[in-house]
Amino acid sequence: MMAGSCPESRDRIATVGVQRRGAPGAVPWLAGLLLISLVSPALSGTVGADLGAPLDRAMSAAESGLREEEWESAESRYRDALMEGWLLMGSLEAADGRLPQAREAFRHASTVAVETERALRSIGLLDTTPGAPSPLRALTAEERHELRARATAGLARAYLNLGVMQAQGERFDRAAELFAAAAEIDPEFPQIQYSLGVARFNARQFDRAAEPLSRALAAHPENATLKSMLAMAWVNTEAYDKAADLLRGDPERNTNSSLQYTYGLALVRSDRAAEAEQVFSRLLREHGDSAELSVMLGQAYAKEGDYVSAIESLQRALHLKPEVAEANATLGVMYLKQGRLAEAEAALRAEVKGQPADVKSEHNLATVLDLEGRTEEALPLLRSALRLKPDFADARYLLGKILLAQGDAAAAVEHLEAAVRLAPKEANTHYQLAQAYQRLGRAEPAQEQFEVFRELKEKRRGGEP
Amino acid sequence: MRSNGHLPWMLLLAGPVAAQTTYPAPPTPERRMLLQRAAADLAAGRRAEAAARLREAADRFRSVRALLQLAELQSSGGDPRGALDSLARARAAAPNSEAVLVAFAEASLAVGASLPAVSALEPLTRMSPNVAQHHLILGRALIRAGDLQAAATVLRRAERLEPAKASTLIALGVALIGHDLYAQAEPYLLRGLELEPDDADATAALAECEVSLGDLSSAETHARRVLARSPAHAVANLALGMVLLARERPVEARGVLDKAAAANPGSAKIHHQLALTCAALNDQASARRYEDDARRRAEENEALVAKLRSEVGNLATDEP
Repeated sequence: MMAGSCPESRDRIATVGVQRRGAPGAVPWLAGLLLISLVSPALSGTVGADLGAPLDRAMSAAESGLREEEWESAESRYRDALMEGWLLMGSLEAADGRLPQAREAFRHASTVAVETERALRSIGLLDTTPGAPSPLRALTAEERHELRARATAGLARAYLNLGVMQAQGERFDRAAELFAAAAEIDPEFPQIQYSLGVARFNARQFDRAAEPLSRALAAHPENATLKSMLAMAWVNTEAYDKAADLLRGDPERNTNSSLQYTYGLALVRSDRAAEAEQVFSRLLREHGDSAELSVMLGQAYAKEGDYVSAIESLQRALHLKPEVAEANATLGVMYLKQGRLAEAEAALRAEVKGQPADVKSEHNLATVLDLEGRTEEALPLLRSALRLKPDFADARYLLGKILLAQGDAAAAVEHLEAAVRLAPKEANTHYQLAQAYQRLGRAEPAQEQFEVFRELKEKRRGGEP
Repeated sequence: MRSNGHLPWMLLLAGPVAAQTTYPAPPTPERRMLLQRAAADLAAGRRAEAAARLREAADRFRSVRALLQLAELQSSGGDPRGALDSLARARAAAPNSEAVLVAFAEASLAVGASLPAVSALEPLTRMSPNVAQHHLILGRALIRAGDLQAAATVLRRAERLEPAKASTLIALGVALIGHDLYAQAEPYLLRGLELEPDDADATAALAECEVSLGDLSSAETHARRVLARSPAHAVANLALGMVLLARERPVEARGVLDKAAAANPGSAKIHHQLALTCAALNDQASARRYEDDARRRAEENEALVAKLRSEVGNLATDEP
């Protein structure tokens, strides 16, 4: 699997200045004390004045902080703006009689800044006097709509800019959370889908990056960065066909080597090795020797079953760059398929040493060791892989199988049950789980698992041509 | 998931994106110049001049950035109180800033003020609930403040967010030991030690767990391993003292427990063990004195926890 951060794209998650809407005219409030208290503490100080003013002031202070490159001040003021925005939204919802929404808005207000008092008092007021009159009801529908739009824009902008600051600090997961909050408030907000997609991509949340990247690309179909990033997101979530389809008819592929590379990657991973081989061969011709390209070309040959060319390409890659990722992993898998276990072990050990986070290679190495009967050496590899990727079904299966063979049926059941949950259509896992249950004297679930195993086997046989 | 060589290719693609993008205007030249000169002074080793310029930027332009840099300078120059004062000013100017809150909490802990640290960290965990590090620092501050129940709650959250982090697992184990949940603490400490096998605090805490669960042999091995490197380690001496007492060797136990008490005079647990040891030695007067000490320390701790909870609320009960 591939992933990575994309710092240049990060630079393009930029602070967005949105034109401030014209402040609505001062609303002629004639509210008494009771009315004031029922609006919410947020607004009680501003009755008779512009209800959006606290939000505007906080936004203005935040942007002044940005201008002065006082990031900490800007962050603090944007958080004030979030609180003011949510208090305003809560008050508007309450005035419209939408109390659950009002409560939710006030709850947000109580979590976005250090100060919680006004938000908590507002929630308290909702609880004690939910149907009480509100000065906001004196506004016309149009005025209320305008105020809501202003609050929405302010909130989206504050979340967006807080996200930008997180992205600038390379905290992409947190940036993504903030962008997601902005997108939830206003999915059409300028730049938001792009920023969310890029942040999730850089945070390696590829499955969640695809949707905002698709939306951003729909708005800017000419943007090659977006297209490549979306294709990579799909490659990383193993949606290789989608990635290949996205790039197949793209004329820019011919002049943009990055797009071409991504296209080749998608092809090789979607078992269109012959096409992939052409793509990588061309890239090699045009750009000279590159370890990464040689790995891809080697993988394409391996998929086609041309192991001689595959080994040649992969060894060239290792010669160019001994630490290049996936070269040894691919060699190891090829040797494993050929039954050359000692060579497979050596290659996979080299991959695991160079890429300690490569859980697939850890698992493949454990498979080799299991085949060699060295299960004690396989166990720590599988445990390490599962620490990094607890939902790795193959590793759970192999660990459970080895533990069962060693006589620890109780521990085996734990892993095999997890493996069945993760990959319910793997017949062998059901078989091993049935054996483990049997070993523990649990006849009924054992029988059930044997049944599932038989059904899956029959289905597979029936499906074969 | 992992990276591979395709990424540099991706980067070739970056191009202009947004017409709507606007960048803020540059900062006022004078303020910027002050900060630049401070940076130049600092690079040239002129710390006093740098500090003076940062102070000026903070005073004239209310620069939070300058205050943060000044605090760093003060802290590294051995002036933790000065750093805390600067950060208090920064906190007043930018109360919601994450960087300011974290720096303030750390500076507070550096001068032993755990309560202000907790009061700065609590809102941080509310504003950024998915940041494991904030929960971890808050948990550690709560351990320092003596509220081990709240610490355990907070550290469990940190552990859920980042399950394989040694420092979190170890802190959680220590917090659970603090309210005598030894069987619960042990697996966290073992997992922490798998990741950080050389961590002396974790090894000592494991020894305390083991002796409390009756595994004297493992406890002794672990305690002695720590003491070989850090002879004054309070928890390792406590654990070894407990082992020796359980093996009916009170004279030796007394010696190591005295060392434990010297290293951590505020520990009610150590004083309680000393009381038991003195009782085993038929020194009833000392036993009573140590038991009184233990009770007093426990009461002092309870009072501190009550004060903490009255100021920041009971963090042990707000499980999301």
